[in-house]
Amino acid sequence: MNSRRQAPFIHTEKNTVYISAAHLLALIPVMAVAIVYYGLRALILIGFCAVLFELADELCSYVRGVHKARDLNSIVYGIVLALLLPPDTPLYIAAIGVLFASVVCRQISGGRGSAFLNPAAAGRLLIRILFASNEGALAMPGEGRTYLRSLVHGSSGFEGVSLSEFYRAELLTGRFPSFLGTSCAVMILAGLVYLLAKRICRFYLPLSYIGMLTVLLFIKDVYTGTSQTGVFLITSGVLFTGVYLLTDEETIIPFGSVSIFQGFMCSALTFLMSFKTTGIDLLVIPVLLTGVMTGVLNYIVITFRVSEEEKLRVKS
Amino acid sequence: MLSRDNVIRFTVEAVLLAIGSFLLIVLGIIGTNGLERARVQEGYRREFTAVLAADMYQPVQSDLIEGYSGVTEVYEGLDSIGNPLGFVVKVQVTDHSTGNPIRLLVGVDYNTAQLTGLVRASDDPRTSAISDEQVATILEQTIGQQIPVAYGVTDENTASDDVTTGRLPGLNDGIYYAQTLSADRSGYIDYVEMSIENGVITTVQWDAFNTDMNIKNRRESSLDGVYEVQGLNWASQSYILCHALMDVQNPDLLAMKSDGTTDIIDGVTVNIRTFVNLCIECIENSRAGFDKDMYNAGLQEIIDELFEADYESLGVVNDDGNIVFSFEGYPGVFLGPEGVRLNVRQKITGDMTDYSDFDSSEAELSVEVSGNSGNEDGVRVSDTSFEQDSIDGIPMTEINTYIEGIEGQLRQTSDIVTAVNTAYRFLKDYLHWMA
Repeated sequence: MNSRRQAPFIHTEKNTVYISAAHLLALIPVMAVAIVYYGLRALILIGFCAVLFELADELCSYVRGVHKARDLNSIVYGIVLALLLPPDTPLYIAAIGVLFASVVCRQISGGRGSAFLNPAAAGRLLIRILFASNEGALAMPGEGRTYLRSLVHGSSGFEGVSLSEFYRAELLTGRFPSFLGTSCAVMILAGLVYLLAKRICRFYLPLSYIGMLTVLLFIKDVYTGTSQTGVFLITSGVLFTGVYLLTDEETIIPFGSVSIFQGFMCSALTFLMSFKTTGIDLLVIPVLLTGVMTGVLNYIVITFRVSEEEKLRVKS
Repeated sequence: MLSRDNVIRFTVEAVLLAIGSFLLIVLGIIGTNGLERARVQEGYRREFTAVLAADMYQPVQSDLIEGYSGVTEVYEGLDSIGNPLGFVVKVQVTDHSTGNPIRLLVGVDYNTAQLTGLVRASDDPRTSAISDEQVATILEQTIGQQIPVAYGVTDENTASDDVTTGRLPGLNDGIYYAQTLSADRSGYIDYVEMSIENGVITTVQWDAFNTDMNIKNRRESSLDGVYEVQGLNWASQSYILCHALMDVQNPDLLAMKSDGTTDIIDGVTVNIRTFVNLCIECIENSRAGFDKDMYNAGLQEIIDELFEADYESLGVVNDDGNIVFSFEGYPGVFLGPEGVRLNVRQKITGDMTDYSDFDSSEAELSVEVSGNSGNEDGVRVSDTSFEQDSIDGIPMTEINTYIEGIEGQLRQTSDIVTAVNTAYRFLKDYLHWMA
């Protein structure tokens, strides 16, 4: 029987600060990859986005006179946004993405803990729309670790190479041109293992997303007579989406069947979009659409539950 | 807020995660380094073999490239043991018929400055009106010829065979080699390798390997900026000196002064005594028919005898196959009768014939003798005083090859030739080539 829980609620140590701290730590493996492969500019970009996101959230809260409990989610969003950027992104472009994510996307829906769209994904999509030329040139990992001019002037002009030239071991370890944090499958999975070990996220959401996407891609492979599923999963960044965007509790409902539904929905959108587009679109648009649909779904479910409860109360 | 316990726990976990991540990444990098090198080399081979056949290619890192108009990338082609074979220069010039850029790869032989190939680069935007066939036509006329190139001119004196070179008497054809028997203060053992064809010294290479096998050869170290000398880098000076010898064909004509330096070769400021001595030894070995293989076998035999062991087991052979051993602590090994100091050939063959006894005046000089007075002057390597008309900023006096170009398409010919000459100018500035 459905019934609303009454106080006192069960107190757990896993408050929002704890959860966001765990998310922050789960990002350490991919941040390490970004810093080792792309050097100082990666470190500066990540730090810049994290600090700017936190400052923007704080300032907005202050201006609005809203004082919500502090957590580390702003920093997490800033880092996730940075990790979705090309290594040679200038700071002003990153700043525009961060400010949009914080001021527009997060604050309009109520500030900390209230975003209905993943702010990092939304900020990243805005950068993609406004600065399409920034997407073209992805630097080779390991080259120009001390190169800092890109933070002001943008890409050094490196033209992409075909991923078919790379060995599987290189792809697995993320040694191919990619966004800052989306390349190394091993480290992304290490982050997932940490989140699962800390019981911060349920396995079924990332699993339903990645599992369903794998099945769909495999069917496509069988149909087209190719074998691209493995390479796609490793190189496209969908693992990053599954582990770091879909486990965001602020914008995704982390409960059993709804989670699985969201995972399936996101994977279906990703799969459909993969016919038409690649790159960052494939990573953030399905997440944003899933966020919107989840909001609608959530509203319908709650409304339905409330009306059912009302009916029961009337009956009784 | 987090409890104190949680703060401590998270801190510890963060440190462990960071350490574990970095270790894993480093392991991944180490594990895939070989694959990355193979992939990169495979990519280079695919692109560059058409212009310069080499076992491996190395990008040339130089500040000069960044500021050099027209040159976008430069690669050095090396053989399997790391000896330089030539350069691949990626040049971007403007196709003046359309105003669009065209990117070409120019291959140049290291020793002879001959053009080894010319093709459109894989990243050429293909917006110019110059066709692959036109590039191929120019290549046909220039391949195997020394750069720089001028077009639309026929010069009867262009054939390189016309150049009369001075020759030393009694030289046998083959590859000859000599190395110093004691390392210098930096641990370097100098060596000279000399090729002789038809009695003419055709290539000379001067380099040094280190007794510490972890240290790169002197040439590489100087290009990396690790080994520094006054003036030009050592690799450039070595290159200039070797070419000066190929021009004059006689080490005596390098005009080494009593302090071991020479004033007459532009750009060379290092002490050339070791080079001259090793060249003389190579020339004597050539006269005696004692080639490189015999030299190395002899050196191995001497070491085997000295230690009563197989030289290979002593670990004195480096990756390039050189015998890295300094006889500094064994002064008696090369002492001959009456205290005469022997070289490897004399020690092995016992042949004490004086092969150095030749009259340098027998060498026919083709290179202009300097007007500078003094006993230590012999040759002038470059002279810009008689600069006349120029093409692509290169004096006509420097032009080595004249071609007819593409019939009726002077503009396209000009653009392609400019690409070749841009590569020449860069290499000249980079290596101070005399070509």
